[in-house]
Amino acid sequence: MHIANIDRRILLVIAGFGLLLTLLTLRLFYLQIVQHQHLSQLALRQQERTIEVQPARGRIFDRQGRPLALNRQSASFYAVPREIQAPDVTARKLAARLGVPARRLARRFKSRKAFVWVKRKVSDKAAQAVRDLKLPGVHELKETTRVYPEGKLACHLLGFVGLDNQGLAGIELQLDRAIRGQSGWIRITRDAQGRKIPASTRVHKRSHPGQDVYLTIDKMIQHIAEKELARCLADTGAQAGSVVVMDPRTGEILALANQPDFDPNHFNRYPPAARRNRAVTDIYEPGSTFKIVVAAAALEEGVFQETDIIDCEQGRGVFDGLVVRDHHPRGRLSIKDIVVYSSNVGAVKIGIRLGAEKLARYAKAFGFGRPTGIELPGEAGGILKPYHQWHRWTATSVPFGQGVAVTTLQMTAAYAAIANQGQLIKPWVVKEMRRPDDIRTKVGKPVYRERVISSRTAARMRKILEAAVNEGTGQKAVLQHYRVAGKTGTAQKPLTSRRGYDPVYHVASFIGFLPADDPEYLIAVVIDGPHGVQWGGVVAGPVFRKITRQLVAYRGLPPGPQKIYAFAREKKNNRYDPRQILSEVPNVIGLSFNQARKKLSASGLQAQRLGQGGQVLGQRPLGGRRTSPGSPVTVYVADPEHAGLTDQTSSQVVVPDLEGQSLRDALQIIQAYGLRAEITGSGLVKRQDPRPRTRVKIGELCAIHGEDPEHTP
Amino acid sequence: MAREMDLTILLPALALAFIGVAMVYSATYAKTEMSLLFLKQIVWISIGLLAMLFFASLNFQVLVDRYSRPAYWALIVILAVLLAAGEQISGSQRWFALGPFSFQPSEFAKIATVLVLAKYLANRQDRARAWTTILGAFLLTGIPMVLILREPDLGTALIFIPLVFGMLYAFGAPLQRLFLIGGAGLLASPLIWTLLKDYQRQRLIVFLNPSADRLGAGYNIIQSKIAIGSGGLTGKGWLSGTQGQLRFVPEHHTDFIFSVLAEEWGFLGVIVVLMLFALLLLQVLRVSRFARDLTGSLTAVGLTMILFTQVAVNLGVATGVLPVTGMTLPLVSYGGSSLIVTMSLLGILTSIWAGRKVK
Repeated sequence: MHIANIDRRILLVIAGFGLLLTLLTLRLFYLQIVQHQHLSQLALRQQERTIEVQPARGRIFDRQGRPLALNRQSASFYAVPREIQAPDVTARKLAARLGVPARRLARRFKSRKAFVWVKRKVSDKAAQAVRDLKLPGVHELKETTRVYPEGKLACHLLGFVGLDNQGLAGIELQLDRAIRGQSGWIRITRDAQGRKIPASTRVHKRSHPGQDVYLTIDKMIQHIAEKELARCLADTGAQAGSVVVMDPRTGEILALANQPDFDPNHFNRYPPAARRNRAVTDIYEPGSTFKIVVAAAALEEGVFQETDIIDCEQGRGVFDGLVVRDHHPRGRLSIKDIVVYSSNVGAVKIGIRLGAEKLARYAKAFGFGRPTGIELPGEAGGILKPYHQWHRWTATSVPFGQGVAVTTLQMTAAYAAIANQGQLIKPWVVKEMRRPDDIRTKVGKPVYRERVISSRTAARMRKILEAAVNEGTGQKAVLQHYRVAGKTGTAQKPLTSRRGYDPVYHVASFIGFLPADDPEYLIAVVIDGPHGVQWGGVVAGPVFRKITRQLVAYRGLPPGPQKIYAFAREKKNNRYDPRQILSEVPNVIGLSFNQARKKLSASGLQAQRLGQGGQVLGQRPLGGRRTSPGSPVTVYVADPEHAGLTDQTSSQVVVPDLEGQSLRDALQIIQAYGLRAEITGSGLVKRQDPRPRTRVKIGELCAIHGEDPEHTP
Repeated sequence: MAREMDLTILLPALALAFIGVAMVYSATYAKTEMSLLFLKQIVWISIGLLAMLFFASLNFQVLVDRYSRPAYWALIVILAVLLAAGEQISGSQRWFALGPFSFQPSEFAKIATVLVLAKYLANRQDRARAWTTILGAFLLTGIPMVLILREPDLGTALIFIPLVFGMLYAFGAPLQRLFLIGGAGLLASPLIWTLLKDYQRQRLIVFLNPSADRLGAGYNIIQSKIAIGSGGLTGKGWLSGTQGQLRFVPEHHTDFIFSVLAEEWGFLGVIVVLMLFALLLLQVLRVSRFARDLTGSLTAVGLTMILFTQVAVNLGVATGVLPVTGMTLPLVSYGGSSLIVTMSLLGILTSIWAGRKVK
């Protein structure tokens, strides 16, 4: 009986466990069958992590394909705090090698986050040092870093990128979407410690590299512009300045330099003021350079003829209670001389005769008061009030460039209208964009805006500006052997704290172009606040001259008067393709002069003979280049054995003997050989480097020094 | 004696042990480095088999009469010494180093307590309803239990409660008195709460609300559930369970071996393992019913309580119905002490079976 009772109880105990096992089976059934899908998804989600793969950023080149912005792979380190056993020791070791405060690292390592950065984009040396430590929980990641191989060159144009390769300024910002490319994703299976498992790495979406950008900038010209601007600032003690070089025929910006500048590789080491693209974003009162507006308007409207005489009241005029003074007081001046000698009184009188409403209309037509539309971020539109808001003194100050504010780029564009037969043109910097597979996605084209003045008025203005350089305030800008036109400006700076103008500092500027009759290069130089001499002609003029001197040597602009060529731009369609207008220069090297002349005239070009002999040994422009129809091609002729120039196929030439030639002839010979010239002195060639008959590469620099014959004993 | 060794206990036990080896191999399997834990497990199983053989060949009466009491008191002394100065392993003093081996005396204390208790009760068969008998039984159980609780090893300590209740119930103690004591225990549970260590309290809190601490203590339960659930009907296959392989499930070769199994072998594999345990349960039932005397029967019940409370609690933890207690799955989980103790226990059951009443 008793045993039976025990048996029953034992049975119940066992049955209890049986019931438990059954319940557990049900629970397992619920988890594994009913909840299976839900829990599987949870498993998948935590086992896989999606990591963004940054695409390689598109590169940036100059107009000739020379690199300005590239990419480099660099190492970044991150940590998984849960894997770090000794956060303080780890932090201290890393801090010593990476230059990050140990305390900050330790704090990150102690956080509950799954992922923290240690340091991104570490130098190769530091990266190796960290790798050698083999610290648990510290991992490496490859990231691309933007590199600007030319350092500060074109920094304001290029801009810079942030740590995540996002464009933050300049072209990098403006074209960020195209340059950036498309991110891809990698889905990585990872374990509970967040470590990825290499074998199971699989790409889900490939990243697409960004587009390459080719700028209209020429690296050499940019370099020349920056060098001369910086030198001017050093010489004059000015705080800031800008230089813009443009091809006025097309609106392409060849160089755009600002001071102060910065190194985009280390942009955060520079103050924001150094990173501003002043030529585009900063406005100033232009002063006398603005006189072209009133002068061009008056000529166009026929209120004055060039020869009409205006009384400039010996440099002091009172208009409606406003006293206007001249820097160079004169009496009676023609409209031409008012520009040449930069008379404010005269300019105001022209303005009064023209009428304020027309003045306002022309100022607007020249592009003032609105952005030019260049492909750069943050462009300012300047200040030009609409006519109905004009103050009674506005009309008496605008003619000589006060009461308006402009950007250097706007001034450049306005002068380009005069250089370019009277038609306003849009400045642009993006020549081409290409996908990684080399397909062009954008090809920059000149954009012609409204006609401002007739081509006849433009031509008259060019003559006036040429006179301003040769006879007037711009004489420091004169470049020997070339016809230069331009205008100086010495503008007062409005005070920021109160009304009125700065009594000491001015904005000195010079804007000009050459050749004066058919301009190919337009250069604006604006120097903000030089110490000592303030005159635009004295401060900015020499910068213009120094830049143009190197520019013509580099680009091989033939010196001397050129035939004025009417550009066929006055089409209904205001876009044009330079290829339709410019003709290709045939290669005539190796031919006799007569053959060369025939071949050239068949292309609508003139042969200009230089030297004596039976065979063409050099030409300028070189074969394959494009030039305006009807323009001269300089052909250097000599007996081949005489000159020692034999091999025309290789990229080398034999330096000709230049001694005794005039500098002007020597320059042409050197250029015909495809060499660049650096000329010093004057008169006849005395010394040259490299020596004659040396073999050098085409494009090398050849220095020639001339002395006047009467100075030599 | 050995020829009387009962294969119906040995075979399911061996099957479970080798499933365990396969699971340990899979759980510690890594693509880069070879883990030798599964080989050690095989060594433990061999030692466990020797222990089982040893206890099976021992005369149960001799074991109970001569050795149970000295073993019981010796273990209590060891536990007390351990409390004073023990080797620290994962925050508690469970391990006792003896030469190259370290073992958990608490594991053996359970068996010793069962034997002592069985003998004590069998001697008081005529006073089964007396309060003194019942309280004496609780005293015998309470001494090692409190020591183990202070170690602290909550899981092992808790085993003593079903052990003493189960044995008293089978012994014939009046149910209402057992309920009375159980109720008193529940009322005293705030007292137990104060005895608990912080991490043990944390586990209980997290059990009540797992998502309160997703990456901390609740992490284990959630990850285990995900592993089991993602196994589905047929599982992901041996060595292919990502949850275990990728180490989302912590302690996956010891306390959470079952989730590795459920993930890789699915519901079908789980059923097989549960069937093997059920088979063992039936065998144990047979042993207790046909034991020669009350001591044998009660010992069998006590040992069953130890074995199957562990099974039930371990599975309950893995499936998220019980708080994390740190209890291994007998025979399957990696671990020397657990294996040797479990197989010794099965050896004792075999021994009782061998000395059964012959019909």
